[in-house]
Amino acid sequence: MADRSETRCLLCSLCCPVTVERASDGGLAVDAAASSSAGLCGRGCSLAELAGDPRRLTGVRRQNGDAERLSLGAAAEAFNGLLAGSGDAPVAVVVDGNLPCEDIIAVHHWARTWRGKAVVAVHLPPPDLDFMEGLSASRASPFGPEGLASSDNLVVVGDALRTHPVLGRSLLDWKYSHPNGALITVDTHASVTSHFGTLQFRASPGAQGGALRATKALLKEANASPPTPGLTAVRGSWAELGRRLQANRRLSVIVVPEMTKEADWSVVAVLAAELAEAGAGGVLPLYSYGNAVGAYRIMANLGLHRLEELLVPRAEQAWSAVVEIGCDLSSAYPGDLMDPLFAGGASRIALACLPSPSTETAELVIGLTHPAEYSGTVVAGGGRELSLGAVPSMPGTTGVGAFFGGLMDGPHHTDESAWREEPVAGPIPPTAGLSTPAADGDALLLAVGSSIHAGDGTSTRRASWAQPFEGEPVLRLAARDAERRGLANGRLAAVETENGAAIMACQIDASLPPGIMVAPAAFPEIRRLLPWQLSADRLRCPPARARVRAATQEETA
Amino acid sequence: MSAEVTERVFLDIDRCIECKSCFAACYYGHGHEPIICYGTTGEVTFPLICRQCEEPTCVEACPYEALHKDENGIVKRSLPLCRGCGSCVTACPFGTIPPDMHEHQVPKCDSCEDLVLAGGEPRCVSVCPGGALTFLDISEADLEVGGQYALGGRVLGRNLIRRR
Repeated sequence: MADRSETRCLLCSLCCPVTVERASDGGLAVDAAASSSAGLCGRGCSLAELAGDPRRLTGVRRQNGDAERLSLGAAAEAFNGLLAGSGDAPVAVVVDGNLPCEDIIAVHHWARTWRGKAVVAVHLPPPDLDFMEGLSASRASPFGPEGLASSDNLVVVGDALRTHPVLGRSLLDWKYSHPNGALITVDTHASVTSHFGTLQFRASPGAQGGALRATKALLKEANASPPTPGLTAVRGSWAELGRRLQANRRLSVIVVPEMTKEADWSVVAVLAAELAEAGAGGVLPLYSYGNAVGAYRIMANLGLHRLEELLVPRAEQAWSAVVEIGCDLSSAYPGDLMDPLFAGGASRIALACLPSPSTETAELVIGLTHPAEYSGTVVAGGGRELSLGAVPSMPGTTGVGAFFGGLMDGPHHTDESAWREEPVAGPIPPTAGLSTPAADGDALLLAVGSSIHAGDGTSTRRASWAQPFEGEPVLRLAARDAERRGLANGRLAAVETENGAAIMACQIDASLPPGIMVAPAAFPEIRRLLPWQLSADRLRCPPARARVRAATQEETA
Repeated sequence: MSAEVTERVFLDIDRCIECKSCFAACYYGHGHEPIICYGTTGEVTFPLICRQCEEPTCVEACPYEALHKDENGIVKRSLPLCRGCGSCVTACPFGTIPPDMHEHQVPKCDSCEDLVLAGGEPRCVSVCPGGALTFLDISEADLEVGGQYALGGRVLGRNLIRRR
């Protein structure tokens, strides 16, 4: 195996090519690949630091009272020993969807052979998962950033430039080379992307799907009067949009499925696909996971479960053990949501590359390779199948495929059709979006994506360069909201929702309308404030109604 | 051997997406020093990057002679001489020197002289995902002829920050 290799950054679905090189001192250098048209964004810069983090988990740690360190060679024995103690009770296995396809399949094969009692769920951000399901149901053909050039008009739902900064060059090249085209932005506030919108629409949380429906009506008929509840034209007008669409009909749609901005991203996907079809264009989905598409296909084609299916309280025997592979459920979701997993006193096993709340409470922790060291295949946004190179992994860590392959008696067959075949989802029932105006004195708290942190922040929260900007969660709010509450830049605010409370520093943000407050989704303390809603097979997250006031001296002490 | 660096970092504010990738690249390329500052106008935040002035006021202002212009035209800081007094921070008319001390010293952009003399570009330029930062050997007058405006020196705007 070479010490230098070309691989892919998995911290968003653009999956930029990067080179990784293991230095003689063990450090890892990550750089933009020569084949890349864009440089390394801030998240990409974080990759190398975190791969070489001195807190990397190596070897095996068994903790039952006192911690005991074991060699990696003893991992399989310790793993089997802990599971064997579970008797006939079932075991829940949660595998992160950002692992390479081969690794996810290896876990699936192990689970099938392991006494038939291991149930495997794939962890994907719920908005990503819902959106992919909607696209599958609509049979839309998603495209990659290279497809932008053929569009006359673009509709961008969400803050694409903030969550996927590497899209910047191609999107802005498109904008400045299409002076007659319209860049139509739809977001809950004046986000970075909307600054560039030729036509800018503000959507209340839950009204983003409505914006797509309205645009489709205008594509058919310039004078159609679009349904406008929750939608406001900030720059331009619906009439102007109608005229532009009639003049240049070819239209594509870019969507960032973000929690709290919509209730049901599967419906938004269907609407986006319908709009793109009417405009003879395509849909460019921007997911937060590099291997979102690959993991979704494997899950659907091999019958693996969604995480939420394991979170429903069980009528039958409780889980005897929970195995977390590459994910940190304790940071991503509030504890009470995870209670059904651990209700029966389940043992916790974590395979992870860095310490986290999950590894702190696990009885067995096994050091895992870092995403910059992965090898295998991923399927990125637009259905692009990409190979990951691999540098020698840090001593004392193991890859998921190697570990679970070693637990099986013989080799398993990796069927590539599992990630190549696009599954067909059932029809998506229409839903009423979120229409949640805040009560008097309350605000709607949105948890939004960032150009600094990826997804739930597990991979990037520790990066030292990010500390001056997003080292801790900051509450952004409109000046009028701050004034009403006696808050100012830097003042600490007490934020309470039905689900919890937090103290956060304030930052006045002129881009926010009164009544909408924003905090970064990459922090567990924010995610715990949100009103997660679990049904039998869906986990959704609307915005939280928040009561915000200046923190008292006792609270800030 | 001297080889004067005549290019400067320019920002096309109509392409800046506020991602802070320039800061990250600079930070990791300069031993974890937080060098790049940010300015805000209205709702837009953008990086402020040293212009390597012909007659740098920061050099004049430094009471410890810690700043000097080297043979390549780059304003550099001498680590042993800097006391972190912040005089250069106040003196810079373009706000490009960070006000916060880092390990009792003032971080200072050197236009990635190591890369530039080898024929490359400053790190902030090569990583910029929006294509907002460029490394140009061009006069401000030429830029204006080309329909662009120089705002506060090296900050450019197409139709004066009119992104639509």
